[in-house]
Amino acid sequence: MPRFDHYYSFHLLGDTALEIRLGEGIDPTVLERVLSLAQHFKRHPPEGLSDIIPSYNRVTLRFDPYRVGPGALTDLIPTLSDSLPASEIHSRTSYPTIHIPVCYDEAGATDLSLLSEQLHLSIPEIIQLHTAQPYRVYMLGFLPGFPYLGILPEPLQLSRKSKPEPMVAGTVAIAAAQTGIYPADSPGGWWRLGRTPLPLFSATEERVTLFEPGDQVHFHSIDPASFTKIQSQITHDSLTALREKGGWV
Amino acid sequence: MGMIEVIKKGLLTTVQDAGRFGQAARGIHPCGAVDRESFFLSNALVGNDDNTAALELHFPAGSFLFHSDAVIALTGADFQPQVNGSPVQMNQPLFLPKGSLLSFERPNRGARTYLAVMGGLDIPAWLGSASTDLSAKTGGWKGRALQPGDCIPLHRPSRLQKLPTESTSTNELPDPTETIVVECLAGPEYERVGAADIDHLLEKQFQVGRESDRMGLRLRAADPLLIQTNPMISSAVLFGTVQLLPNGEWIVLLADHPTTGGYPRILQVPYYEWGKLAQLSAGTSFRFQRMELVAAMEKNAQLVRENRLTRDRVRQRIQSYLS
Repeated sequence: MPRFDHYYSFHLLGDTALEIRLGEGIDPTVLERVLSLAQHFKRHPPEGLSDIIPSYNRVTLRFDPYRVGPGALTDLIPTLSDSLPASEIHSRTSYPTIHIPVCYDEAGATDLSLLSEQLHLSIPEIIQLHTAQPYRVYMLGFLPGFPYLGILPEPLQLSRKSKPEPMVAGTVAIAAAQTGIYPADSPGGWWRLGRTPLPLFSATEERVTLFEPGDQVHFHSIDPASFTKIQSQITHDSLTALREKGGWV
Repeated sequence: MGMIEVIKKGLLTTVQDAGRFGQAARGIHPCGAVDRESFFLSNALVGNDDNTAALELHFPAGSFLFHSDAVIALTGADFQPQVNGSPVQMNQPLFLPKGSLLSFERPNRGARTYLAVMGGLDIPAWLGSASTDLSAKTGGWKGRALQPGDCIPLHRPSRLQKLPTESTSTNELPDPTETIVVECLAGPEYERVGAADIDHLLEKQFQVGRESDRMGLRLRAADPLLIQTNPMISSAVLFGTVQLLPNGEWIVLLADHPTTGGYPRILQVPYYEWGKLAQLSAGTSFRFQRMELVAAMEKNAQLVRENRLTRDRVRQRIQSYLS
Protein backbone atom coordinates (compact mmCIF):
# COMPACT_ATOMS: atom_id res chain seq x y z
CA MET A 1 0.00 0.00 0.00
CA PRO A 2 1.38 3.45 -0.83
CA ARG A 3 2.44 5.44 2.21
CA PHE A 4 0.69 8.59 3.43
CA ASP A 5 2.83 11.05 1.53
CA HIS A 6 2.25 14.29 3.42
CA TYR A 7 3.80 15.93 6.43
CA TYR A 8 2.38 14.68 9.71
CA SER A 9 3.47 14.30 13.31
CA PHE A 10 2.09 12.37 16.26
CA HIS A 11 1.60 13.99 19.67
CA LEU A 12 0.22 12.60 22.89
CA LEU A 13 -2.68 14.49 24.41
CA GLY A 14 -2.26 13.37 27.99
CA ASP A 15 -2.71 9.70 28.77
CA THR A 16 -5.85 8.89 26.76
CA ALA A 17 -5.54 10.60 23.37
CA LEU A 18 -3.27 11.00 20.35
CA GLU A 19 -3.13 13.98 18.00
CA ILE A 20 -1.95 13.66 14.43
CA ARG A 21 -1.00 17.10 13.14
CA LEU A 22 -1.29 17.48 9.39
CA GLY A 23 -0.42 21.11 8.78
CA GLU A 24 -0.75 24.63 10.07
CA GLY A 25 -3.56 27.18 10.25
CA ILE A 26 -6.75 27.02 8.20
CA ASP A 27 -5.90 25.53 4.82
CA PRO A 28 -8.16 23.71 2.32
CA THR A 29 -5.43 21.25 1.32
CA VAL A 30 -4.88 20.34 4.98
CA LEU A 31 -8.66 19.90 5.32
CA GLU A 32 -8.55 17.17 2.64
CA ARG A 33 -5.89 15.31 4.63
CA VAL A 34 -7.89 15.69 7.85
CA LEU A 35 -11.03 14.31 6.18
CA SER A 36 -9.25 11.39 4.55
CA LEU A 37 -7.45 10.46 7.78
CA ALA A 38 -10.64 10.71 9.88
CA GLN A 39 -12.31 8.42 7.32
CA HIS A 40 -9.38 6.01 7.48
CA PHE A 41 -9.63 5.67 11.28
CA LYS A 42 -13.39 5.27 11.08
CA ARG A 43 -12.88 2.28 8.76
CA HIS A 44 -9.89 0.90 10.64
CA PRO A 45 -10.31 1.86 14.31
CA PRO A 46 -7.27 1.09 16.44
CA GLU A 47 -7.86 -1.03 19.56
CA GLY A 48 -9.60 0.91 22.34
CA LEU A 49 -10.60 3.90 20.18
CA SER A 50 -13.64 5.74 21.59
CA ASP A 51 -13.80 8.85 19.38
CA ILE A 52 -12.31 10.55 16.34
CA ILE A 53 -12.19 14.34 16.58
CA PRO A 54 -11.26 16.04 13.31
CA SER A 55 -10.34 19.71 13.65
CA TYR A 56 -8.74 22.36 11.40
CA ASN A 57 -5.34 20.82 10.89
CA ARG A 58 -5.29 17.66 12.99
CA VAL A 59 -7.13 14.49 13.83
CA THR A 60 -7.39 13.56 17.49
CA LEU A 61 -8.00 9.96 18.55
CA ARG A 62 -9.59 9.57 21.97
CA PHE A 63 -9.22 6.19 23.68
CA ASP A 64 -11.18 4.40 26.38
CA PRO A 65 -9.03 4.66 29.54
CA TYR A 66 -10.04 1.08 30.36
CA ARG A 67 -8.56 -0.17 27.11
CA VAL A 68 -5.18 1.56 26.96
CA GLY A 69 -2.57 -0.09 29.13
CA PRO A 70 0.80 1.49 30.05
CA GLY A 71 2.78 2.24 26.91
CA ALA A 72 -0.12 1.39 24.59
CA LEU A 73 -0.38 4.85 23.03
CA THR A 74 3.35 5.29 22.47
CA ASP A 75 3.55 1.75 21.05
CA LEU A 76 0.67 2.57 18.73
CA ILE A 77 2.44 5.48 17.02
CA PRO A 78 4.74 3.45 14.70
CA THR A 79 1.91 1.00 13.89
CA LEU A 80 -0.52 3.79 13.03
CA SER A 81 2.14 5.61 11.10
CA ASP A 82 2.75 2.52 8.91
CA SER A 83 -0.98 2.07 8.34
CA LEU A 84 -1.72 5.61 7.13
CA PRO A 85 -3.21 5.50 3.64
CA ALA A 86 -1.87 7.39 0.67
CA SER A 87 -3.93 10.58 0.67
CA GLU A 88 -5.28 9.89 -2.83
CA ILE A 89 -7.11 6.76 -1.73
CA HIS A 90 -9.87 8.34 0.27
CA SER A 91 -9.89 11.96 -0.82
CA ARG A 92 -13.11 12.92 -2.55
CA THR A 93 -13.33 15.31 -5.42
CA SER A 94 -16.74 16.78 -4.63
CA TYR A 95 -18.62 17.64 -1.47
CA PRO A 96 -22.28 18.67 -1.17
CA THR A 97 -23.07 22.37 -1.39
CA ILE A 98 -25.56 23.73 1.14
CA HIS A 99 -27.21 27.12 0.61
CA ILE A 100 -27.95 29.08 3.77
CA PRO A 101 -30.36 32.04 3.78
CA VAL A 102 -29.31 34.77 6.20
CA CYS A 103 -31.24 37.81 7.32
CA TYR A 104 -28.51 40.44 7.77
CA ASP A 105 -30.84 42.74 9.61
CA GLU A 106 -29.22 45.78 11.17
CA ALA A 107 -32.43 46.41 13.12
CA GLY A 108 -32.09 43.00 14.80
CA ALA A 109 -29.57 42.15 17.48
CA THR A 110 -26.49 42.16 15.28
CA ASP A 111 -23.04 43.69 15.49
CA LEU A 112 -23.22 45.06 11.92
CA SER A 113 -22.91 48.72 12.98
CA LEU A 114 -20.00 47.96 15.32
CA LEU A 115 -18.30 45.87 12.63
CA SER A 116 -18.83 48.61 10.09
CA GLU A 117 -16.86 51.01 12.32
CA GLN A 118 -14.15 48.50 13.24
CA LEU A 119 -13.60 47.19 9.71
CA HIS A 120 -14.05 50.55 7.92
CA LEU A 121 -16.60 48.97 5.61
CA SER A 122 -20.23 49.88 4.96
CA ILE A 123 -22.89 47.39 6.04
CA PRO A 124 -23.78 46.50 2.41
CA GLU A 125 -20.06 45.91 1.76
CA ILE A 126 -19.86 43.54 4.74
CA ILE A 127 -22.90 41.59 3.50
CA GLN A 128 -21.56 41.55 -0.04
CA LEU A 129 -18.17 40.20 1.13
CA HIS A 130 -19.76 37.55 3.38
CA THR A 131 -22.07 36.21 0.63
CA ALA A 132 -19.67 36.51 -2.33
CA GLN A 133 -17.72 33.28 -1.89
CA PRO A 134 -18.29 29.65 -0.89
CA TYR A 135 -16.95 28.32 2.42
CA ARG A 136 -15.94 24.86 3.59
CA VAL A 137 -17.03 23.22 6.83
CA TYR A 138 -13.63 22.58 8.44
CA MET A 139 -15.01 20.96 11.57
CA LEU A 140 -17.97 20.70 13.93
CA GLY A 141 -17.39 21.54 17.58
CA PHE A 142 -18.13 23.85 20.52
CA LEU A 143 -21.88 23.04 20.42
CA PRO A 144 -23.62 20.03 18.82
CA GLY A 145 -23.77 20.84 15.10
CA PHE A 146 -21.81 24.13 15.23
CA PRO A 147 -19.94 24.42 11.90
CA TYR A 148 -16.55 26.14 11.76
CA LEU A 149 -16.45 27.65 8.27
CA GLY A 150 -13.54 29.20 6.43
CA ILE A 151 -11.85 31.02 5.04
CA LEU A 152 -13.39 34.42 5.74
CA PRO A 153 -12.30 37.18 3.30
CA GLU A 154 -9.40 39.16 4.77
CA PRO A 155 -11.26 42.53 4.98
CA LEU A 156 -13.81 40.89 7.34
CA GLN A 157 -11.27 39.36 9.71
CA LEU A 158 -11.40 40.68 13.27
CA SER A 159 -10.34 38.86 16.45
CA ARG A 160 -13.17 37.64 18.66
CA LYS A 161 -14.78 39.82 21.32
CA SER A 162 -13.13 39.90 24.72
CA LYS A 163 -16.36 38.93 26.46
CA PRO A 164 -18.98 36.37 25.37
CA GLU A 165 -22.58 37.58 24.90
CA PRO A 166 -25.87 35.68 24.61
CA MET A 167 -26.51 34.39 21.07
CA VAL A 168 -29.82 33.11 19.72
CA ALA A 169 -30.13 29.89 17.69
CA GLY A 170 -29.37 30.49 14.02
CA THR A 171 -27.02 33.43 14.62
CA VAL A 172 -24.43 33.72 11.84
CA ALA A 173 -21.22 35.18 13.22
CA ILE A 174 -17.57 35.77 12.38
CA ALA A 175 -14.26 35.72 14.26
CA ALA A 176 -10.73 35.94 12.83
CA ALA A 177 -10.63 33.84 9.61
CA GLN A 178 -13.78 31.92 10.53
CA THR A 179 -17.52 32.19 10.19
CA GLY A 180 -20.00 29.97 11.99
CA ILE A 181 -23.65 29.43 12.89
CA TYR A 182 -24.93 28.92 16.44
CA PRO A 183 -27.27 25.86 16.40
CA ALA A 184 -28.81 26.74 19.78
CA ASP A 185 -29.08 29.67 22.19
CA SER A 186 -25.66 29.99 23.82
CA PRO A 187 -23.10 32.50 25.02
CA GLY A 188 -20.61 33.28 22.26
CA GLY A 189 -17.71 35.62 21.58
CA TRP A 190 -18.06 35.99 17.82
CA TRP A 191 -19.38 39.06 15.94
CA ARG A 192 -23.05 38.72 14.90
CA LEU A 193 -23.88 39.39 11.25
CA GLY A 194 -27.42 38.00 11.07
CA ARG A 195 -29.59 34.96 11.49
CA THR A 196 -30.66 31.95 9.46
CA PRO A 197 -34.11 30.36 9.88
CA LEU A 198 -32.70 26.90 9.06
CA PRO A 199 -32.30 24.33 11.87
CA LEU A 200 -28.75 22.99 12.33
CA PHE A 201 -29.42 20.32 14.93
CA SER A 202 -32.22 17.87 15.63
CA ALA A 203 -32.08 15.32 18.42
CA THR A 204 -35.05 13.41 17.00
CA GLU A 205 -33.47 12.77 13.61
CA GLU A 206 -30.86 10.15 12.92
CA ARG A 207 -28.81 12.69 11.00
CA VAL A 208 -28.65 14.94 14.11
CA THR A 209 -26.66 17.72 12.42
CA LEU A 210 -27.26 19.59 9.16
CA PHE A 211 -23.55 19.87 8.34
CA GLU A 212 -20.68 17.46 7.99
CA PRO A 213 -16.99 18.33 7.82
CA GLY A 214 -16.05 18.95 4.19
CA ASP A 215 -19.40 20.46 3.10
CA GLN A 216 -19.42 23.57 0.92
CA VAL A 217 -21.58 26.41 2.17
CA HIS A 218 -23.02 29.46 0.40
CA PHE A 219 -24.70 32.32 2.29
CA HIS A 220 -27.56 34.27 0.67
CA SER A 221 -29.01 37.53 1.95
CA ILE A 222 -32.77 37.50 2.64
CA ASP A 223 -35.13 40.17 4.01
CA PRO A 224 -36.99 39.90 7.36
CA ALA A 225 -40.25 38.90 5.59
CA SER A 226 -38.52 35.94 3.87
CA PHE A 227 -36.94 34.96 7.18
CA THR A 228 -40.37 34.69 8.82
CA LYS A 229 -41.79 32.86 5.81
CA ILE A 230 -38.98 30.25 5.68
CA GLN A 231 -39.11 29.81 9.44
CA SER A 232 -42.82 28.97 9.30
CA GLN A 233 -42.24 26.46 6.47
CA ILE A 234 -39.37 24.61 8.12
CA THR A 235 -40.23 21.75 10.41
CA HIS A 236 -37.60 20.72 12.85
CA ASP A 237 -37.32 17.25 11.40
CA SER A 238 -36.11 18.15 7.96
CA LEU A 239 -32.29 18.00 8.16
CA THR A 240 -32.04 15.05 5.75
CA ALA A 241 -34.44 16.68 3.29
CA LEU A 242 -32.63 20.01 3.61
CA ARG A 243 -29.29 18.38 2.81
CA GLU A 244 -30.75 16.50 -0.13
CA LYS A 245 -32.05 19.66 -1.77
CA GLY A 246 -28.84 21.56 -0.95
CA GLY A 247 -30.19 23.79 1.80
CA TRP A 248 -32.68 26.54 0.97
CA VAL A 249 -32.61 27.50 -2.69
CA MET B 1 -43.31 -1.30 36.91
CA GLY B 2 -41.37 0.50 39.64
CA MET B 3 -40.95 4.22 39.85
CA ILE B 4 -39.08 6.96 41.73
CA GLU B 5 -40.85 10.30 42.16
CA VAL B 6 -38.94 13.54 42.69
CA ILE B 7 -40.53 15.29 45.70
CA LYS B 8 -38.09 18.10 46.38
CA LYS B 9 -35.96 19.62 43.64
CA GLY B 10 -32.19 19.17 43.88
CA LEU B 11 -29.55 21.64 42.69
CA LEU B 12 -28.82 19.51 39.62
CA THR B 13 -30.11 15.96 39.38
CA THR B 14 -29.60 14.25 36.02
CA VAL B 15 -29.74 10.78 34.52
CA GLN B 16 -26.23 9.69 33.52
CA ASP B 17 -24.28 6.67 32.37
CA ALA B 18 -20.62 6.40 31.30
CA GLY B 19 -21.16 8.94 28.50
CA ARG B 20 -21.82 9.29 24.80
CA PHE B 21 -18.91 8.28 22.61
CA GLY B 22 -18.30 8.03 18.88
CA GLN B 23 -20.19 11.30 18.25
CA ALA B 24 -17.46 13.90 18.77
CA ALA B 25 -17.06 14.64 15.05
CA ARG B 26 -20.61 16.07 15.13
CA GLY B 27 -19.75 18.29 18.08
CA ILE B 28 -21.77 16.17 20.52
CA HIS B 29 -20.43 16.54 24.06
CA PRO B 30 -19.46 13.30 25.84
CA CYS B 31 -21.54 14.00 29.00
CA GLY B 32 -21.88 11.02 31.38
CA ALA B 33 -21.20 10.69 35.11
CA VAL B 34 -18.54 13.20 36.18
CA ASP B 35 -17.16 10.68 38.71
CA ARG B 36 -17.18 7.62 36.48
CA GLU B 37 -15.59 5.23 38.95
CA SER B 38 -18.16 6.05 41.67
CA PHE B 39 -20.94 5.69 39.11
CA PHE B 40 -19.62 2.25 38.07
CA LEU B 41 -19.41 1.19 41.72
CA SER B 42 -23.00 2.27 42.48
CA ASN B 43 -24.17 -0.14 39.78
CA ALA B 44 -21.91 -2.99 40.86
CA LEU B 45 -23.21 -2.71 44.45
CA VAL B 46 -26.76 -3.44 43.26
CA GLY B 47 -25.67 -6.17 40.84
CA ASN B 48 -26.06 -4.12 37.63
CA ASP B 49 -23.64 -3.94 34.73
CA ASP B 50 -21.21 -1.04 35.26
CA ASN B 51 -22.75 1.12 32.54
CA THR B 52 -26.40 1.20 33.66
CA ALA B 53 -28.32 4.51 33.82
CA ALA B 54 -28.29 6.05 37.32
CA LEU B 55 -28.89 9.45 38.91
CA GLU B 56 -26.19 12.01 39.60
CA LEU B 57 -27.00 14.39 42.48
CA HIS B 58 -25.47 17.67 43.68
CA PHE B 59 -26.20 19.25 47.07
CA PRO B 60 -28.93 20.28 47.92
CA ALA B 61 -29.89 16.92 46.49
CA GLY B 62 -33.68 17.07 46.94
CA SER B 63 -35.78 14.10 48.00
CA PHE B 64 -37.19 11.02 46.29
CA LEU B 65 -40.25 8.89 46.97
CA PHE B 66 -40.07 5.21 46.01
CA HIS B 67 -43.37 4.00 44.54
CA SER B 68 -42.20 0.39 44.65
CA ASP B 69 -39.74 -1.76 46.57
CA ALA B 70 -36.20 -1.08 45.40
CA VAL B 71 -32.61 -2.03 46.13
CA ILE B 72 -30.39 1.03 45.75
CA ALA B 73 -26.79 2.08 46.37
CA LEU B 74 -25.34 5.55 46.98
CA THR B 75 -21.69 6.23 46.10
CA GLY B 76 -19.48 9.27 45.58
CA ALA B 77 -20.03 12.39 47.69
CA ASP B 78 -21.33 11.91 51.23
CA PHE B 79 -24.42 14.11 51.62
CA GLN B 80 -25.54 12.22 54.74
CA PRO B 81 -28.38 10.25 53.17
CA GLN B 82 -31.51 9.39 55.15
CA VAL B 83 -34.45 7.07 54.54
CA ASN B 84 -37.64 8.23 56.25
CA GLY B 85 -35.49 10.50 58.44
CA SER B 86 -33.02 7.83 59.62
CA PRO B 87 -29.39 7.87 58.46
CA VAL B 88 -28.36 5.15 55.98
CA GLN B 89 -24.93 3.97 54.81
CA MET B 90 -23.15 5.05 51.66
CA ASN B 91 -21.38 2.47 49.46
CA GLN B 92 -23.55 -0.54 50.20
CA PRO B 93 -26.80 -1.96 48.87
CA LEU B 94 -29.93 -0.76 50.72
CA PHE B 95 -33.43 -2.18 50.58
CA LEU B 96 -36.10 0.54 50.37
CA PRO B 97 -39.67 -0.72 50.81
CA LYS B 98 -42.44 0.91 48.78
CA GLY B 99 -43.28 4.37 50.20
CA SER B 100 -39.72 5.14 51.40
CA LEU B 101 -38.54 8.75 51.24
CA LEU B 102 -34.85 9.27 50.46
CA SER B 103 -33.38 12.64 51.46
CA PHE B 104 -29.99 14.17 52.17
CA GLU B 105 -29.02 16.02 55.33
CA ARG B 106 -25.89 18.04 54.56
CA PRO B 107 -22.84 17.96 52.29
CA ASN B 108 -20.22 16.24 54.37
CA ARG B 109 -17.58 15.64 51.71
CA GLY B 110 -17.39 15.58 47.91
CA ALA B 111 -19.50 17.20 45.18
CA ARG B 112 -21.52 14.43 43.47
CA THR B 113 -23.50 11.44 44.66
CA TYR B 114 -24.61 8.52 42.48
CA LEU B 115 -27.89 6.75 43.07
CA ALA B 116 -28.15 3.38 41.31
CA VAL B 117 -31.20 1.12 41.44
CA MET B 118 -31.15 -2.65 41.00
CA GLY B 119 -32.30 -3.35 37.45
CA GLY B 120 -31.53 0.23 36.39
CA LEU B 121 -33.58 3.28 35.43
CA ASP B 122 -35.75 2.70 32.36
CA ILE B 123 -34.38 5.50 30.17
CA PRO B 124 -34.17 5.20 26.38
CA ALA B 125 -30.73 5.72 24.85
CA TRP B 126 -29.98 8.65 22.53
CA LEU B 127 -26.98 8.01 20.24
CA GLY B 128 -26.03 5.01 22.33
CA SER B 129 -26.21 6.59 25.77
CA ALA B 130 -28.78 7.40 28.47
CA SER B 131 -26.77 10.42 29.64
CA THR B 132 -28.50 13.78 29.81
CA ASP B 133 -26.99 16.32 27.41
CA LEU B 134 -27.91 19.66 28.99
CA SER B 135 -26.44 21.73 26.15
CA ALA B 136 -28.32 19.82 23.43
CA LYS B 137 -31.39 19.58 25.72
CA THR B 138 -31.75 15.91 24.94
CA GLY B 139 -30.86 12.45 26.28
CA GLY B 140 -31.55 11.22 29.80
CA TRP B 141 -34.86 12.37 31.27
CA LYS B 142 -36.38 14.81 28.74
CA GLY B 143 -32.95 16.36 28.18
CA ARG B 144 -33.08 18.26 31.44
CA ALA B 145 -32.48 18.15 35.19
CA LEU B 146 -35.17 16.42 37.25
CA GLN B 147 -38.00 18.50 38.71
CA PRO B 148 -40.57 17.84 41.44
CA GLY B 149 -43.31 15.59 40.10
CA ASP B 150 -41.05 13.74 37.65
CA CYS B 151 -41.61 9.99 37.93
CA ILE B 152 -38.58 8.04 36.73
CA PRO B 153 -39.52 4.49 35.69
CA LEU B 154 -37.46 1.53 36.88
CA HIS B 155 -36.89 -1.54 34.74
CA ARG B 156 -38.33 -3.70 37.52
CA PRO B 157 -39.11 -3.49 41.21
CA SER B 158 -36.66 -5.44 43.40
CA ARG B 159 -37.86 -7.26 46.49
CA LEU B 160 -34.62 -8.54 47.89
CA GLN B 161 -34.60 -7.71 51.63
CA LYS B 162 -31.59 -9.59 52.96
CA LEU B 163 -28.49 -7.79 51.69
CA PRO B 164 -24.73 -7.75 52.20
CA THR B 165 -23.87 -5.21 54.92
CA GLU B 166 -20.22 -4.54 54.06
CA SER B 167 -19.45 -1.01 52.83
CA THR B 168 -17.11 -0.78 49.82
CA SER B 169 -15.63 2.40 48.39
CA THR B 170 -13.16 2.77 45.53
CA ASN B 171 -12.13 6.38 45.95
CA GLU B 172 -11.17 8.69 48.75
CA LEU B 173 -13.16 11.93 48.90
CA PRO B 174 -11.02 15.10 49.00
CA ASP B 175 -10.90 16.75 52.45
CA PRO B 176 -12.16 20.34 51.91
CA THR B 177 -10.11 21.62 54.88
CA GLU B 178 -6.81 20.57 53.27
CA THR B 179 -4.97 21.63 50.13
CA ILE B 180 -5.55 18.84 47.64
CA VAL B 181 -2.83 17.86 45.17
CA VAL B 182 -4.01 17.07 41.64
CA GLU B 183 -1.39 15.27 39.57
CA CYS B 184 -1.14 16.32 35.93
CA LEU B 185 0.73 15.83 32.69
CA ALA B 186 2.01 18.45 30.29
CA GLY B 187 -0.67 19.49 27.79
CA PRO B 188 -0.02 20.02 24.06
CA GLU B 189 0.58 23.78 24.53
CA TYR B 190 2.68 23.39 27.68
CA GLU B 191 5.76 24.59 25.80
CA ARG B 192 4.08 27.91 25.01
CA VAL B 193 4.35 28.89 28.65
CA GLY B 194 7.83 29.86 29.85
CA ALA B 195 9.62 27.82 32.53
CA ALA B 196 9.24 30.60 35.14
CA ASP B 197 5.46 30.80 34.53
CA ILE B 198 5.15 27.01 34.75
CA ASP B 199 6.91 27.14 38.12
CA HIS B 200 4.41 29.78 39.27
CA LEU B 201 1.51 27.71 37.99
CA LEU B 202 2.66 24.62 39.86
CA GLU B 203 3.26 26.55 43.09
CA LYS B 204 -0.05 28.35 42.94
CA GLN B 205 -2.88 27.46 45.26
CA PHE B 206 -6.21 27.51 43.42
CA GLN B 207 -9.74 27.40 44.78
CA VAL B 208 -12.64 25.74 43.01
CA GLY B 209 -14.93 28.62 41.95
CA ARG B 210 -18.65 28.67 42.75
CA GLU B 211 -19.57 28.92 39.03
CA SER B 212 -18.03 25.48 38.40
CA ASP B 213 -20.45 23.02 36.84
CA ARG B 214 -20.55 19.73 34.93
CA MET B 215 -18.78 21.48 32.03
CA GLY B 216 -15.73 22.41 34.06
CA LEU B 217 -14.06 23.68 37.20
CA ARG B 218 -13.43 27.41 37.19
CA LEU B 219 -10.32 28.12 39.19
CA ARG B 220 -9.78 31.08 41.47
CA ALA B 221 -6.49 32.32 42.87
CA ALA B 222 -5.66 35.08 45.36
CA ASP B 223 -3.48 36.79 42.73
CA PRO B 224 -4.35 35.78 39.17
CA LEU B 225 -1.56 34.30 37.10
CA LEU B 226 -1.60 36.21 33.82
CA ILE B 227 0.37 34.51 31.08
CA GLN B 228 0.40 35.88 27.55
CA THR B 229 -0.14 33.24 24.86
CA ASN B 230 -0.84 33.66 21.15
CA PRO B 231 -4.39 33.07 19.90
CA MET B 232 -4.84 29.61 18.42
CA ILE B 233 -7.45 27.87 16.30
CA SER B 234 -9.73 25.24 17.80
CA SER B 235 -8.63 21.67 18.40
CA ALA B 236 -9.78 18.72 20.50
CA VAL B 237 -10.10 18.92 24.27
CA LEU B 238 -10.71 16.15 26.82
CA PHE B 239 -11.98 15.57 30.32
CA GLY B 240 -9.23 16.94 32.55
CA THR B 241 -7.81 19.40 29.98
CA VAL B 242 -6.56 22.51 31.80
CA GLN B 243 -7.08 25.58 29.63
CA LEU B 244 -5.79 29.10 30.02
CA LEU B 245 -8.30 31.79 29.01
CA PRO B 246 -7.14 35.13 27.58
CA ASN B 247 -8.30 36.98 30.74
CA GLY B 248 -5.94 34.86 32.84
CA GLU B 249 -8.67 32.55 34.09
CA TRP B 250 -7.97 28.80 34.32
CA ILE B 251 -10.55 26.08 33.72
CA VAL B 252 -10.38 22.30 34.06
CA LEU B 253 -12.84 20.54 31.75
CA LEU B 254 -15.25 17.92 33.11
CA ALA B 255 -17.82 15.54 31.55
CA ASP B 256 -20.02 18.08 29.70
CA HIS B 257 -17.04 19.68 27.96
CA PRO B 258 -17.32 20.72 24.31
CA THR B 259 -15.39 18.48 21.92
CA THR B 260 -13.12 21.30 20.78
CA GLY B 261 -11.73 24.50 22.23
CA GLY B 262 -9.60 27.41 21.12
CA TYR B 263 -7.62 28.08 24.29
CA PRO B 264 -4.13 26.75 25.04
CA ARG B 265 -4.22 23.31 26.67
CA ILE B 266 -1.47 23.78 29.21
CA LEU B 267 -1.97 20.71 31.41
CA GLN B 268 -3.84 17.42 31.16
CA VAL B 269 -5.12 15.64 34.28
CA PRO B 270 -4.68 11.87 33.80
CA TYR B 271 -7.53 9.39 34.15
CA TYR B 272 -6.68 8.18 37.66
CA GLU B 273 -7.20 11.75 38.97
CA TRP B 274 -10.57 12.36 37.23
CA GLY B 275 -12.55 11.06 40.20
CA LYS B 276 -10.74 13.50 42.49
CA LEU B 277 -11.52 16.43 40.13
CA ALA B 278 -15.16 15.32 40.06
CA GLN B 279 -15.45 15.46 43.83
CA LEU B 280 -13.77 18.85 44.44
CA SER B 281 -16.51 20.99 45.94
CA ALA B 282 -16.67 24.78 45.55
CA GLY B 283 -14.13 26.56 47.75
CA THR B 284 -11.78 23.56 48.05
CA SER B 285 -8.10 24.51 47.71
CA PHE B 286 -5.78 22.55 45.49
CA ARG B 287 -2.59 22.74 43.48
CA PHE B 288 -1.25 20.91 40.48
CA GLN B 289 1.76 18.60 40.56
CA ARG B 290 3.64 17.50 37.44
CA MET B 291 3.75 13.78 36.66
CA GLU B 292 5.52 11.86 33.95
CA LEU B 293 3.47 9.96 31.40
CA VAL B 294 4.90 6.50 32.15
CA ALA B 295 4.13 6.81 35.87
CA ALA B 296 0.64 8.14 35.09
CA MET B 297 -0.12 5.25 32.74
CA GLU B 298 0.96 2.80 35.43
CA LYS B 299 -1.29 4.48 37.98
CA ASN B 300 -4.18 4.33 35.50
CA ALA B 301 -3.62 0.63 34.93
CA GLN B 302 -3.51 -0.02 38.67
CA LEU B 303 -6.71 1.96 39.33
CA VAL B 304 -8.58 0.28 36.50
CA ARG B 305 -7.43 -3.19 37.60
CA GLU B 306 -8.22 -2.71 41.30
CA ASN B 307 -11.58 -1.03 40.79
CA ARG B 308 -12.67 -3.65 38.29
CA LEU B 309 -11.78 -6.41 40.77
CA THR B 310 -13.63 -4.62 43.58
CA ARG B 311 -16.73 -4.22 41.44
CA ASP B 312 -16.67 -7.84 40.30
CA ARG B 313 -16.42 -8.90 43.94
CA VAL B 314 -19.37 -6.78 45.18
CA ARG B 315 -21.45 -7.71 42.14
CA GLN B 316 -20.87 -11.42 42.72
CA ARG B 317 -21.72 -10.97 46.39
CA ILE B 318 -25.12 -9.39 45.78
CA GLN B 319 -25.84 -11.83 42.99
CA SER B 320 -25.23 -14.68 45.44
CA TYR B 321 -28.05 -13.21 47.58
CA LEU B 322 -30.31 -13.20 44.53
CA SER B 323 -29.86 -16.88 43.70
